[in-house]
Amino acid sequence: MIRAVDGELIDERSGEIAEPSPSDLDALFRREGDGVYRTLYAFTGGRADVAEEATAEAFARAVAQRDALRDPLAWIYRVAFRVAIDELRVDPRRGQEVDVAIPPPELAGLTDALRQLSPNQRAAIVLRHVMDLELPEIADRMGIAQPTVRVHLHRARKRLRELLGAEEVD
Amino acid sequence: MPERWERELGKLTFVDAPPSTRARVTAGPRGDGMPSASRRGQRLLAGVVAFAVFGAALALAGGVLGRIGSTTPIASTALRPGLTIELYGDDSGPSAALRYGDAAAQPQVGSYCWSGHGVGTCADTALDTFPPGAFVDVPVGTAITVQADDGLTSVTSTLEQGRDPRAILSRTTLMNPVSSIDGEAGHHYVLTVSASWPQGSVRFFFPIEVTGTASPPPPTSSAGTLVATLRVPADGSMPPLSLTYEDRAARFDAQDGRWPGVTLSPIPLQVFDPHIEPGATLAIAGNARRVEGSLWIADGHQNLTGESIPLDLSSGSVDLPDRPGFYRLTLAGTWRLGEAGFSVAITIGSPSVDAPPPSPPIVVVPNVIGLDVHDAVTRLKEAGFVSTAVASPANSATGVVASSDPPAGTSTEMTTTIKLTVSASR
Repeated sequence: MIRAVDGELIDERSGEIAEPSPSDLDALFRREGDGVYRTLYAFTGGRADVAEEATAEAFARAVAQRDALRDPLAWIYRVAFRVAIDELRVDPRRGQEVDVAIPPPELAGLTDALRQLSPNQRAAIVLRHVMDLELPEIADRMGIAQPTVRVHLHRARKRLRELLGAEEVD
Repeated sequence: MPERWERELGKLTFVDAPPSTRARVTAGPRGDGMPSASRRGQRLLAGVVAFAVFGAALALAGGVLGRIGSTTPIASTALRPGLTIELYGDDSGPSAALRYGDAAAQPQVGSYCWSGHGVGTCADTALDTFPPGAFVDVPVGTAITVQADDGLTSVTSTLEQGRDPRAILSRTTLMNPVSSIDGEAGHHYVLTVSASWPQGSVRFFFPIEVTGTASPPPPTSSAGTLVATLRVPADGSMPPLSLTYEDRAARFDAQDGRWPGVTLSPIPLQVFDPHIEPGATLAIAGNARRVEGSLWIADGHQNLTGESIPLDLSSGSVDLPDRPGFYRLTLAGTWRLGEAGFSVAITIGSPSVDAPPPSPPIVVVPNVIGLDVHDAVTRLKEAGFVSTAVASPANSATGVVASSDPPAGTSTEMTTTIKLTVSASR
């Protein structure tokens, strides 16, 4: 029986870290795919097309290279961030004129605000406040040091308070 | 109550991957696992993220690095005591730490590929500017000493002014290797240590602030340093714990954890004999990805009182209590291959066997009223408190602290649970 513990796949019988099989990664996609996409959606400032491509490419590479993975989920996040950066770098304007880049009306204000943050600030704030991850997990998934995550979070919170308001809501 | 920006952010909870994502995963990686040709070079610069290593390639890489190593002896880098760089590489990956007196710094690690057990992995890391508090003050002229495992084949250090490793990587000029800190006083530098093992080559980036006159290293604690080394042996077996204090050293086996091929059986209480001076420093060495620890209080007959003092090992070292007593040092290391936990009886000072066990250190409750719950808990942890209980309105996981029990300014044992009540309104 293989189960995921702290992002690693563990063989319950032997207690050893198991190499993920395609079915394990399929289960991982069902459980975590939306979270990865959600994080990348914020990371790209609402670029749904890039978020989908980065999420799918990261999971696809994980399936293809599963033998080399010890911590598939953290690996997938890091690959997805990298793919998204590459996508945006290649053609930063691509997709801005098509439907997928226009956020739904209820997200318009939020995506406008997110675009005022750096990509790392967006990723950190979403992993913390939407995905409810603790600092070490955020650092692991973003592939950066914990103090750096703290700085990104501090700046992101400050900026979002300025942009979206600090008053309490019901 | 959440603030408006938190509520807005919460809308992302309803953003799900489109159904087409799944089909796209099933279709496989672009270009059959490789990026398209037009972008391949760019991706290689960015760092490949994972690859399968074939036996022949592995042997070739090992042989090449071995030859380089034979012309670059490690001993030549060890000049005289001062700033120490510890480098370790084994099948669980490379690691490094910087020590200068009692100060320590953890590096940012550049992207690297690493091979072991016939399989290779590459870590694609995102470097960032070091935050202001990360820099270790080192006087100009301080010698750099390298301590490494036997596997290290070559190492080079360079010193560049700046705070951002990415800026250093982008420079195209050749940098001269340094064997001592030769920068300009009052400026921030990044010490880049390029190290090679048969399994791979890695660049570590350390933050350093060069200080004025050359002065002796900051004094290590006059009470000495208890060094705990948790390191996976070269054969990949479950790591032991080595404790060193002054001229005494002992090795202890893991009592808990999980490791491939290892079945743990109960072992008698392990004791580290030397009496440790009150106020000594505990320093962590080795190649664990993470080490956590606690100091449990015991009586003169080694019975635990149930109270423990957490050890914040995030910086690599921590001050031990200055109260004489019998303690149980517990340390848990995490490696890529598994985890190992240790419990060793230690004695601080010369306590009487019949004396009551020491009480936990007394800490003053900080004022956290008006703070966000996360910030309040962080501040309490920083003050030394072990446990916090939060009572909040049922519909809100966030909010500001309205009161604490015991209240701010109270002196109490660090093991006291601080109860926070979260207000529904600011």
